[in-house]
Amino acid sequence: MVICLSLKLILMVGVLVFVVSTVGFGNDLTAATFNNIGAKNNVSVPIPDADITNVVLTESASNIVSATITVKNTDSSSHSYNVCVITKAGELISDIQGTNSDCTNTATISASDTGSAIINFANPLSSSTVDYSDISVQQIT
Amino acid sequence: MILRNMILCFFVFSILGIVLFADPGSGNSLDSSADVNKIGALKILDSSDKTMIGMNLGTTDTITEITLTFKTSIEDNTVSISLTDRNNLQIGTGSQFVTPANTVVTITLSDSITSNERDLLKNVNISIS
Repeated sequence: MVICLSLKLILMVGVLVFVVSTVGFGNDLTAATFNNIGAKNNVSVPIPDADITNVVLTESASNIVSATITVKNTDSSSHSYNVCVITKAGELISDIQGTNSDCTNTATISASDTGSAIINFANPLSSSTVDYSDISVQQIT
Repeated sequence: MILRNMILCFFVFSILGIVLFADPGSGNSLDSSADVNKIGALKILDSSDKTMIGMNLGTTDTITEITLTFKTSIEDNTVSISLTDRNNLQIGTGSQFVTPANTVVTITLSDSITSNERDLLKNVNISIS
């Protein structure tokens, strides 16, 4: 009876150790690929059905204060897009870190039609030193 | 006997608990709609000292010419543009000598961009010489 109990305990402890070690070694941890968004080796993020057709930076009092981005819906059905812009002038950037002030949604754009998004910069930039813009377009509907 | 049952119960519930916690922890896929994951980007590098404030790529499927608008007027200089895809392969290029002075420059691409290439357009580099 005592031997039988010991065998059961050993079996249970063995199973317990096996389960813990299996999880601990991360056999099923597939989350590693989640950090590849935007990376060169990421093949799971398709491009949106949209072309950027026009970029206009608006000046006010010698500062660039906003960007107007026009996109064309290249799909056969209507979509809306989230457009984000980061612009740099020297060491200044147009956005405040940690906010979404650099993004604006377009209205729903019909197939083959164009629509615009105006992004007002949180930080106006000196218009004489603007040298870089990074625009992203995300298809949201 | 009671002690044995208690020990067995302890192990059984321990294993059950570990399995329950391990399932969510093992990285169930984050499903989202295909539309949400469609992201494109365009980077514009203006290495001229004239401050480009406008870039019209046109609404056609292909890009044969690009109109640039600068804050400062350009005169007797050549404006060049280079377009590359997400793999940094050049897919379009062109240049235009500007005279007389003007803030608007239309560059006809010597290597125009096809419809397929437009989908992959990632970088625009503008320079003046």
